[in-house]
Amino acid sequence: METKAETAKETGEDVFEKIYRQNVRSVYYYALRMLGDPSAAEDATHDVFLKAYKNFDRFRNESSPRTWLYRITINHCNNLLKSKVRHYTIELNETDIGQLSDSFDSPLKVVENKDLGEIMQKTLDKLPPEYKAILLLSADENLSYSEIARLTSQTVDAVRGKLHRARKLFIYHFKQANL
Amino acid sequence: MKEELRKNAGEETQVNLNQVASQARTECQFNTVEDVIRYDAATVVVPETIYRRLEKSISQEKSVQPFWKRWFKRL
Repeated sequence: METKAETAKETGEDVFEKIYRQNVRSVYYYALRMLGDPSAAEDATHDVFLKAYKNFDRFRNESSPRTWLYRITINHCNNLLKSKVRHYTIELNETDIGQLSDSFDSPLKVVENKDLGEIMQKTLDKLPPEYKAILLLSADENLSYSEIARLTSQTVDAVRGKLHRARKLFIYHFKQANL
Repeated sequence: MKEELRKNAGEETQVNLNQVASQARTECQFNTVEDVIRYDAATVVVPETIYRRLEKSISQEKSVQPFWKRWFKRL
C-alpha cells in the first residue's frame, strides 16, 4: 500500500514529467534557432530542464510553466551566445528597413522538398539576436505581448516596435535565402 | 489577457496555412512570419536522447542530496 509521502513524491515527479512533455518542443526549438546547432540545442534543453527540476519549488510562484521555462532558456542561451563573439552587419539602414513590408505581399511559397529548416536558420542568423528572440517568442501563441516584454525586460511598446522591424528584416532575408 | 492573447487579430494578417499540392511538387504558403516559424517549429524533431539524459541526470542529482533532505521529502 502506498504511503502518503510516496504518493506525493510520485505526483510531483509526474507533474514535472508532464511539464517536460508539454514544453520540451518550445524550449528545444528556441534553443535550436538561437544557437544554430542541434547538438548545442540538445545540451541547452537538457540543462534548462535540469535547472528547472532543481528549482521546481520556486516554480510554484510563477505564472505558467511555459514562461518560467522560457525565462531559464533565454538566460541560458544568452550566456552561451555571449561567449561567441559575433558581429552582425545589418545590410540595411533604418530608412531602408522602414520601406520594407512587414507582411508578405502575396502568400510566400516554399517548396516542401527544400530544406525549410536550413532556410529558416540562414534567415534568422541574419538578424540581431534580440530581433531573433522576439520573433521566436512571438510565434508561440501561448505568450502574450506583456509576457514577451517581461521575458525580454522591456516595455510592450518596445516589443511591438522591434517586432515590426524584425518581421521586415526576416521577410527580406527569407526571400533572399529562398531564391 | 484575452486581448493580449489575441495579439495577431486586427493588427496582422490573418493566420492561414494553405497547402497547395501539385503533380510535380508540394508547396506551402505562408501569410505571416509567425506562420513560417510555427510551421518550422512543428516539423522539428525533438531528440528523445534529451529525455534519457535528463532522467540520468535527475537520478544522479537525487543521489547527491544530503540524507536529511531525502528523509524530509519522504515525510
